[in-house]
Order: sequence, then C-alpha cells, then structure tokens
Amino acid sequence: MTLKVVLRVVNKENILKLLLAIWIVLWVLFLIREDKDGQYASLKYQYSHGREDRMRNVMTPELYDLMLFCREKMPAGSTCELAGFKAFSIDEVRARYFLWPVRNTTGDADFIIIYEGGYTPGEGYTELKGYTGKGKVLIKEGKE
Amino acid sequence: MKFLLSIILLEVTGMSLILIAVRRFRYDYSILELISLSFFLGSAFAGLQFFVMSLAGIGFDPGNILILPAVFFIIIFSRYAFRGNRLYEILPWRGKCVASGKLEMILAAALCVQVLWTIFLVLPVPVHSHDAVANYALKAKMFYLEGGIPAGFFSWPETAVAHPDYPLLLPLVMTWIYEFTGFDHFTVNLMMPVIYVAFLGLFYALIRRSFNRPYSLLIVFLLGTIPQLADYATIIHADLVLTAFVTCAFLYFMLYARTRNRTQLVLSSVLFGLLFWVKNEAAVFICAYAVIFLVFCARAEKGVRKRAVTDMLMSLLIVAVIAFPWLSIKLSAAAANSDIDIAALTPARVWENVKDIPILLNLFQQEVFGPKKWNIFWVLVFASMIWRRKALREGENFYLVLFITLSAAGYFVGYMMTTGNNLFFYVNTTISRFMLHFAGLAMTLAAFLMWDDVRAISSFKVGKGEIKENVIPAEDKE
Repeated sequence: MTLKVVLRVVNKENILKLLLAIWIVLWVLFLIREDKDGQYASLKYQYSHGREDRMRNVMTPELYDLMLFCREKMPAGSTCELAGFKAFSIDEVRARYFLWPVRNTTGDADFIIIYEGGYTPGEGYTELKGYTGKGKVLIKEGKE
Repeated sequence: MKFLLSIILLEVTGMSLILIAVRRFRYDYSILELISLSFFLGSAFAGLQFFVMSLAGIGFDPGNILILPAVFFIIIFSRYAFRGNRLYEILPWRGKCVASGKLEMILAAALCVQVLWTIFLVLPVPVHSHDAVANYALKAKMFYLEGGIPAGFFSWPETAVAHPDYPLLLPLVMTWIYEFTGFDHFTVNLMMPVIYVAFLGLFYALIRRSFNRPYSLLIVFLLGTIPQLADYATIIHADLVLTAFVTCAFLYFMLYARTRNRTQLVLSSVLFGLLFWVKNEAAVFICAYAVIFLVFCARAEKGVRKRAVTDMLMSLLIVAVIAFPWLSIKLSAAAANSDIDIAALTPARVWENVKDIPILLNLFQQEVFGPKKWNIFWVLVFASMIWRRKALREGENFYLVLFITLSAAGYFVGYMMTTGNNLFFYVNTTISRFMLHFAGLAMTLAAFLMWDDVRAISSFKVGKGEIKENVIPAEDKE
C-alpha cells in the first residue's frame, strides 16, 4: 500500500517538476545574488556616471589618475617598464592595456612607472614632476 | 548604432556565405539556424580576412574589409532579387505552426530574463576582467591602432603581450567592431551577449531536429541558465566561443551520422576547423573528432563504408584547410606556450603532476557539486548517465560519450604535461572554464538520454510529431 502511494507520488513527472523547481530556485538565487561584495553599488555607480568616471571606478582612481598622467607624458611608440606592480596582477595588465601604443618592456625603457614602490631604478632616470598621486614616473635622461 | 551595424554586417556576410554555398545543396534550415550560424560564420570570415590582410600587408579600414562581404552580397542579390521564382530556394524551412504551450512561454520568458540580465551587467562596464584585458582586449587594441597585426607580434615576450601563441579569432572580431565604433572598450563588451544568444539560438535549432519544441526549449533553458555559461557571456573570453563552436560542430556531426547529409558534415567540419582559431584546446577536440570519425567508418555497414571513408577524408581536409593559415604562422613563428613547454617536460615533472591528481579530483568534485557556478547541472548529467546507462551505447549517444571521454582524457593529459607552475595552480585557475567547454556536449548527452522518459510527460507531448526528421540526404533528393 505504502509503496503504491510512494510510486504514485514519485512518478517521472513529479521528479522532473522537483528538479526543475530546484533548478529555478538556484538559478534565481545566483542570478540576483551579488557575485562580489558591492557589485550592485558598483553597478549603480556605473549607470549613474559618465564614461570617464566609470573607467576610473573600474580601474581604481589611483591607477587611473597615474595612467592619465602617463598617457599625457609618454608619446606613442615609446617604451615603458612597469615596476612595483605585482607580476600579472590586474593593475599591471590594466596599465599595459591602457598605455598601448606605449609598449611595455623590461630594461632600458624610455619610462619607468613605479606604482607600489619597492623598486630602485638604475642611474640615468629622473622623476617627472607634476603628479602627486600614488606612484611616480621616471623618464630616461635625454628623453625629455 | 554603429555597434549594431557591425553585427548586422557580420550577419549579412555569414548569410551570404551560407546562401552562396550551402543553399546550392538544398539544405533545409530554420530561420533561427540561418541567423545564428550566419553570425558565427560571418565573424569567422571577418577574423580570417583580417589575418590574411595582415599577412598581405593590407591595412585594416572599413573600405578594405567590406570589399569581399559586398561582393558576396551582390552575388546573392543578383541571383535572387530579380527572380522571384527562385526565392523559394532561400526561404528557411518553417515547421508546422503549433501554438505555444504555457510551459514553452515560461521557458522562453525565463531565457529572455537571463539575456536581459546579462546585457544589464555588461552595458555600463568597460572590458575589465583579467584575461580579457591582458589578452584579448590588448591584442584588439594593438591590431586596431596599428591597422594590422604588428610585425614580430608572435615572438614578442610576455611583458609586451600575454600569450602571443593564443589564437586570434576573438581579438580580430573585436577589431572588426572597432572599425565601425572606433576604439570603444565599453561597447565592444556587448559582443559577448550577442555570441551567447547566437550560441543558444544555434543550439536550439540543432537539437530541435531531434526533439519537439517544449523539450528543446527546456534543454536550451537549462544550458542558458547555467551560471558559469551566463557569466562567460559578460566577460570577453574565448571559452564561450569555444563551447559554442565545439558543441554545434559535434551536433552537426551527430545529425550527419543520422542522416548522412553531407552539408551537415561540411558545416561540422567548418566549425571544427574554426576551433583552431578560437583556442589552443582545439587540438584536443580535433584529435577526438578524427578518432570518432574512424570509429564511425569502422561501424558503418559494408555497403556505405566507402562513402563514410570518403566523407571522413573530406571532413578532415576541410578542417586542415581552415586551420592551416593559423597553424603555419604559429609554428613558423615558434610562438611558445607559457604553460606547456615540451622541452622542459621531464619524467620527474610528470610524476610530480601525477602525484597531484587527488588535488585535481578534489577541485573537480567541488565544481560538480557546487551550485554557485553550475546549479545542479553536472549532478543532473551524471545522474542521467547512471539512470540510462544502457542507452549510453545506443545511436548518437555512443559517439557523444566517446567524444566527451576522449576530449576529457586529452585535457587530463594536458594537465599532466604542464610545466610552469604547480598543478594546483593550473587546475584551480582553469578547471571551471575547461568544464564550460564540455557543458554543451554534456547537455546534449543528457537531453538524448532523458528524452524517452520526458516525452511521456504530458507537458512535453505538445507538438509531438512535428519533429523535423531530416533523414533524406540532400544528394538523394536530387
């Protein structure tokens, strides 16, 4: 008797309905749940600001301001070395992306961008004036 | 608007190619298949065209890149525009009109919600994820600003460009978009939802050839709402493109195995060939495909075996021809992979990797049972394989299981051959995206396995009997 009742309830249609219900609940849950902390606040910011501010927000203001300064000072086709960045960190790859057509290289670069510190450049470089934010930019002597 | 124009032009290019080549063989397609396949073929054409132009020293600009698509369009236009009686040749197949049931409407609405949500997440942000910026977006920016692939690009160090050995289809399609929008790292993000929708559209059109409408919609709903798949529609990574191509390529092969329709085989071969332009992992899938085709020939009845062997050779030739330009450049430039360096592969390193297999298995089970990225997708797939284990060797399922198994084995061997960091690093950073490559195939397998059980349920009887059984080879029709 009990088995019959169980079989009547647990038929293929009900199993499918149950699985579909679980799927939909999890789908909705993970759809609306914040993927990262502050995701909605960030989205709200992105939607309510212009492109410049959006880019600044995504890259972080410190890095963005430094990159803007670099873009202003570094002519296309010159080379730069990214120093004081954690290797292959998001900041480093963003800097590399943002600065192109200034090509990233190691050693004997026209410019050295020091972001986090902890880097001592060799001789022959002087600091570019006019930037007060995080990090600094060095230029090879004779390239001014 | 300019972004839309760039997408429409990809569509027109792809559609012209299909109408020029495929329609000659009287291949029946649905409107959805035509539109979604056109997008993929148009994108592939655009990418390959850029690549060839770059080799030939022809600069990228809208004037140059639109010449060939315009020629294709003129051919089609002149063939059909003034001959109304020939128009029937290019009209897509329209199934018997059956009113949509409640379930279908709910599933379609849910998919729309997912797509709109994806666009909502993508719209206000620039290209931002790590690999997107480091790899695809940087390359696209270089190609666009340089007006081509810079000289010496493939031998540049990692400090200048990440992974110069990676295939270029995605950055080249981004470059196509930039040619219309100008350099705009906000708008270009929208291409991923477009790829996502095109993939789901083509996937639906292909499985619709085997199942009725409600069931096909359910399958597409399940695939489209896998969090991992939808997440990859919000970031510029080639993994979603690889998933789309390999899934649809194998679906075309499965249709060919059933119908022996050579047009479906050609489409399968083209998509497999294009895989090489998407990701290096393509090599694994192509090897598995070649083995599958050998098995297919061996299992063919004596009378048709010769034809099957001819088809196999034709298919592999198409794959080779499409892949050749990329592979020849890659090999001649000796663009090195930073993760698998054969020269540095020693028995000691392999043994080190083998000892770390428990780590791999642990991360794999976390993926399978973790709902955050996969919902209950893998649980359902493995459950259906256990539930219908006897059906695993029947019909198309056999080829699908074999293809998935061989490809997964290839990935496993790849992990064992890694030489850079330790195995934990590689598995931890790649397993979820590698599993994405198998998601469409696994969904298809589960769909075939569960069809007999689900078709008996009342909600899925709607539209029964209207399945488009494309069983007559085009050649026989003639």
